[in-house]
Amino acid sequence: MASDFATHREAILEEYEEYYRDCPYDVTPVKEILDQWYEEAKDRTPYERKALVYRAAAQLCEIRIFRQSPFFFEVKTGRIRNSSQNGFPPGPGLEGWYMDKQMHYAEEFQEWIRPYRERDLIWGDIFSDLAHHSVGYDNLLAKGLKGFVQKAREQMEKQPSPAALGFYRSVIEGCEALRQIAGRFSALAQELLAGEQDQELRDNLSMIREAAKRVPWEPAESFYEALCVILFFKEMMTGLEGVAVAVLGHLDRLLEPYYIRDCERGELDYEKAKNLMAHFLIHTDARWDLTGDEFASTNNSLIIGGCDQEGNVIYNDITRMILEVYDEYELVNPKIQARISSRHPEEYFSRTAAMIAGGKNVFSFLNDDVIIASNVRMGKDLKDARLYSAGGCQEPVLDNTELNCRAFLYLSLPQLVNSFFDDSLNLFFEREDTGYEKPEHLETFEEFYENYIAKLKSIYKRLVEVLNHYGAFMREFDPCPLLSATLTGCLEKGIDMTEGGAIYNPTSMPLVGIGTAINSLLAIKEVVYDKHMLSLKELGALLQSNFEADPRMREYLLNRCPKYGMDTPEVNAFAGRIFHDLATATSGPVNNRGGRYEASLFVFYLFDWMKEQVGATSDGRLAGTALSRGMNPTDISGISNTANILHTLKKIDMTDYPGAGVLYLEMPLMKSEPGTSYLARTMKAFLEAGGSALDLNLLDPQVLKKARENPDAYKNIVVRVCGFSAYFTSLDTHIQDEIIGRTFVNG
Amino acid sequence: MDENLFITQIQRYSLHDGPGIRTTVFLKGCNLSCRWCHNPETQKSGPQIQYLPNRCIQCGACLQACPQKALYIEEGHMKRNAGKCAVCGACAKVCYPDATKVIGEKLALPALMETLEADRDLYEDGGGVTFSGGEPMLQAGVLSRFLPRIREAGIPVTVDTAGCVPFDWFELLLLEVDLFLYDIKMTDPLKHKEFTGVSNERILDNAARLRRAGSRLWIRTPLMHGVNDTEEDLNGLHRFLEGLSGVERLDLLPYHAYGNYKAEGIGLPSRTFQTPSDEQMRRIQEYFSDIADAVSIM
Repeated sequence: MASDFATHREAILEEYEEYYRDCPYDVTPVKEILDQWYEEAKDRTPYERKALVYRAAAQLCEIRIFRQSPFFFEVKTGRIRNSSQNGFPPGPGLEGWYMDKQMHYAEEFQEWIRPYRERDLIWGDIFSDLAHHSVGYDNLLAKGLKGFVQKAREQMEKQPSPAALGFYRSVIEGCEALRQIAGRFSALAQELLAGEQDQELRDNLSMIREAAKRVPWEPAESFYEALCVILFFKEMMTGLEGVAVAVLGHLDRLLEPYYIRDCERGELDYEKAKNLMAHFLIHTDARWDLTGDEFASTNNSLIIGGCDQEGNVIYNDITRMILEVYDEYELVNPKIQARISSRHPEEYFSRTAAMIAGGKNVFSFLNDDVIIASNVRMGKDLKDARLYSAGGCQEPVLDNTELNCRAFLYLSLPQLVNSFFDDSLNLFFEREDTGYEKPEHLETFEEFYENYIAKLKSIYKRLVEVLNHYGAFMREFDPCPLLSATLTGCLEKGIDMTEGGAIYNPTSMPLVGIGTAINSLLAIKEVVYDKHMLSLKELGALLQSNFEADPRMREYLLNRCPKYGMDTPEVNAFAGRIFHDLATATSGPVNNRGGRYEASLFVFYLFDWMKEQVGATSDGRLAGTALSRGMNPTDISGISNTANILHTLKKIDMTDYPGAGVLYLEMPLMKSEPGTSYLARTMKAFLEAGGSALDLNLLDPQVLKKARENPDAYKNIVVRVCGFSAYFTSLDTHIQDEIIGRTFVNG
Repeated sequence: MDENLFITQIQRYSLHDGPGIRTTVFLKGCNLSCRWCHNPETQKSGPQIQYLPNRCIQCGACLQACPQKALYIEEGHMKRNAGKCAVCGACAKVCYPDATKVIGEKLALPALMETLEADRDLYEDGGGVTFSGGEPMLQAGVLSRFLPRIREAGIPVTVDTAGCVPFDWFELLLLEVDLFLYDIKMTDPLKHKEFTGVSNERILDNAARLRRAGSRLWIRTPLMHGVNDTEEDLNGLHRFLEGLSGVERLDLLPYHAYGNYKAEGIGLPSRTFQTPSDEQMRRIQEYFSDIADAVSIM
C-alpha cells in the first residue's frame, strides 16, 4: 500500500519542488564521455550511435527516488524543468546530445523556410514532428522490454540488411539499458529502506524495490506495475530520445484489465487504486513550474473515454477515479483528452461539465464518431482507428500502430488570400518551382476562388517535396529505436519509426486562420464581384493602406459582408465547400515514410504567432492583429453565439480532417441555475453537429480583468488557452489580453 | 397565415430566459415604462431609429441619404429632428458601422420555425423558445395563432411577461404556454405607478388567476437599491408570493445599467439606479427561501 496521497500532498509537492527547481542538472561530464563513444562508433549505423545515449543513462547518470512517491522515473539526464514542450531545439541534456551533432540538417531547412516564415506565410522550426508523440503502451505493457528483445533477436537471425541489423542491436541496447536502470532503482530503494523510519514511506520504497525488479523488462502484472511502466517509460523517452513524448496513454482502457484482475484477487480496491492514480498524475504539475513566466504548456496529456478496439464504449472506475483526482486535488495537468460519443453515459457528460463549471477545466473533447471515421477514410483499419489518443493538445494519433507527424509546420490561409493583393507575398512562387502560373485576369469570383485553391495546392505540393526531402534525413537526424520498438511494425520490418517502421505514417501541415480566410473570400465576392463596389486593385490598395484610405469601406467589409458563422444558407454552403476543398487540396500525397499527408486544422496558438506580417485582410481585420482561432469564426465578426456556430458546423464535413479542427466555445459563466446541464447539452449538440475537437471556456471577463490587475488575489483561476490549461495570472499579459478579448454575446 | 410578430431581435443560445438552452424572441412594444428598463428599445410599439455615437465614424453618409433632411451634425455627432424624421431607414441603410439602425422588424411564422428548428438539438433537457420583450402579451392575438404550430413541432414555449393586460388575453394562450416568467416589481401600487407608469393591481390579480388556472410560474423581480429593497417592499412581496402558492421559482435580478446606452441611442433619458450589494442580495435570497422551490440571484 502506497503512502496516503491526501495526507502527504504538501510533502510530496515539496519534495518534487526541492529537486526540480534546480533543473537542469549539469551533465557535461556524461556528454564528454558520450562524445568519446561517438567518435569510436563513427562507422556504426545512426541507430547504434543514438543508442549510446541509452547506455550513458544506464551507466553514467544518477538516479533519484522520491521517498514520497511509490513510482520510479527520475534519471538525471539534464533536462530543463519545463521540458517536453517541443523536442526542438535540442535540449541541454542527454535528450539533445545526439541531435546537436546533426544540426546542419536543421540549419539548412531553417535557411530554406526563413523568408516564408518571416512573412508569416509558413511557420516551422524543423522538418518533422519532434513532439506530441505517444508510446505503443499496449505492446509495452503486454510484452515487456523482454518481448521486444526477443523479437529483435528472432529478426536478427533472418539475416537482415546491415541497417536493420544496426536497428535491432540498438533496440536491444536500449531495452537492456532500461532494464539496468530499473534494476538500479530497485537497489536504491533497498538501500534507502535501511534509513527510512516512516512506515508509509517504507511501503513506497518496498513497492519500488519489488516493481523495479520486474518491470518494464517483464510484462506488467498488476495495476500498480502498469502505472510504473507508463510513467517510467514515458519519462525515459522524453529524457533520452530527443522527441517529446506527450501522451501518458488511454488510461481507462489500458488499466482496466489490471484493475479488475487485482480487485478480483482482493489485492486492490477503488480507493487504493485512486491513491496510486493521484501519485501517478501529480508528477506533471509537480515537475513543471506552472507559475513562472514561461508559456506554460506541459504538452502532457492523457486520454479517457472513447472505446476499445471492438467499439465498446469505455467509461469505468478508472475514468471516475481520474476525474475525482483532478477534482479533489485541483490538478491542471496532464491535459485530459476526453473522447466522447453519443453512446457514452450521462454521468460522463455531467461529471466533466460540473468540473468545468467548478473552474477545473482541464479538458479537450474529441468526437469519436468523426475522428475514427476520418481515419478510416484515409484507409486505416477500423479496429486500429478506434484506438486513438491525442498528443500535445488535440492532435490525434492512433495508439500502437501510428507515427503521426503533425503540429510542426503551419500554413497561413489568410496570407495566401492576401498574396492576390500584395505581390511581395508571391516570393514563394517566385523562388520555388511550384508550377503555379499567375493568371492575367480573374473575371469572376469562381475564377478567383479556383485560383486560390490552385495556389494552395501548388504551395502544398512544394512543401511536400521539401518535407519529404528533409524527412529522409530523419534516420540521421534523430532515429528513435527504443521508442520505435513499442510501435507495431518497426521490429517486424527492421525499420525505425522515423523512416516508416510503424503501420501508419501520416504527416499533416495544419492550415491556420480558416475563419479569416473564409470571411476575406466572402468579402471579395461581395464587394468586387457581386456588387462591383471596388476592383481587385482598389481593394488591394485599401488593404495596403490598412483601411486608412477609406475607413467607411472598412466598416462595410466588417459589418455588411457575409461572415462565416452567421448561419445563413449561403454562407453555410460556402463554408461547407471551402472546408472540403481545402481538405482535398492538402490530403493524399505520399510522404517519405510511406504514409500519406492528411488534412488538419489543428492550429494551437499559431493564430497569434502568425499575425504580425499579415497585413489588413478583406474581412476588415487590421494589419498585424490576430487571425481566427482553430476552426472558429473570427472574433472581429462578433459571432460567438454557440447556436450559430453549432448549426454552421452541421454543414461542414469534419471527417475530411483526420488531423482534427478545434472548435473553441467561450461560454457564459452561470452564477446560478440552470447549473451545468447546459454545458452537457452543448457537448452533446457538438456531437450531433459533427464537430471534431471541442474546447470549452467559461470566462467572466470582469473577473479576468481584475485578475490581470491584481494577480495575487486571483492565483487559482485556470483558463483554457488553446488545447491546454494554465493559471491565468501566469500568462504573458499579451495572452491575457487575447483571452479577455474573446468576447461573447451569449447569456 | 399572413401575419407577423413585431420584434427587436432573436437571441439564440439564451441561458437566462427559462429552463435549459433557449431561443429568446424579443417582441417590441410595452405598456409599462419602468425607469430601470434594460431593454428600452422594446418599449415603443413601432419602428424606431437608434443611434449609437460610439460606433459613428462621422462619415456623414446618413445626412446625404435622408430624404426628409431630418439629420444634422452637432458637436461631431449626428442629431435627428424627430418631427421631420419619417423613420424610413434611409440613414441606416448607408450606415456601414451600424451606428444608426432601425429597431423593429417583422417576423413571420415560417422564418421563426426555421430559426427554432436549427437549434432543436440544444432544446433537449428542457429548453425551447421564450417570448420576451417588451411585453409579448400585447401581441397575444398573433401569438395565439403561432404557438400551436410551435408546440406541434414539440418545442416548449415560455412567455416572459409583466402581466399588465386583460386576463382574457392570457386565456388565449393558456393551453399553449408551458411556463410564464412573470415579473413582479413591487406590491405597493402607488410606488409601482411612480416607477413604471402603471398601477400593479391588474398585474397582481393576473398572477393569482394564472396560478388558479394551473399555469406554471417563475416570478422575476428586479432589485434596485432604495427603490424596492426596503424592508416594507420585501415584506409586501413576501406576503403576496406566499398567497400565490405553488410558485416554482423566484429569480432575483440585481439592477444593472447595461440598458443605459440603448436608452440614449433612442433619445430616452437614461437613469441610473443603485445595485444592492452582494451581501444584501444574499440576505434577500435567504428571506425568500420559503417562497419557491428555488430562489436564485441572476
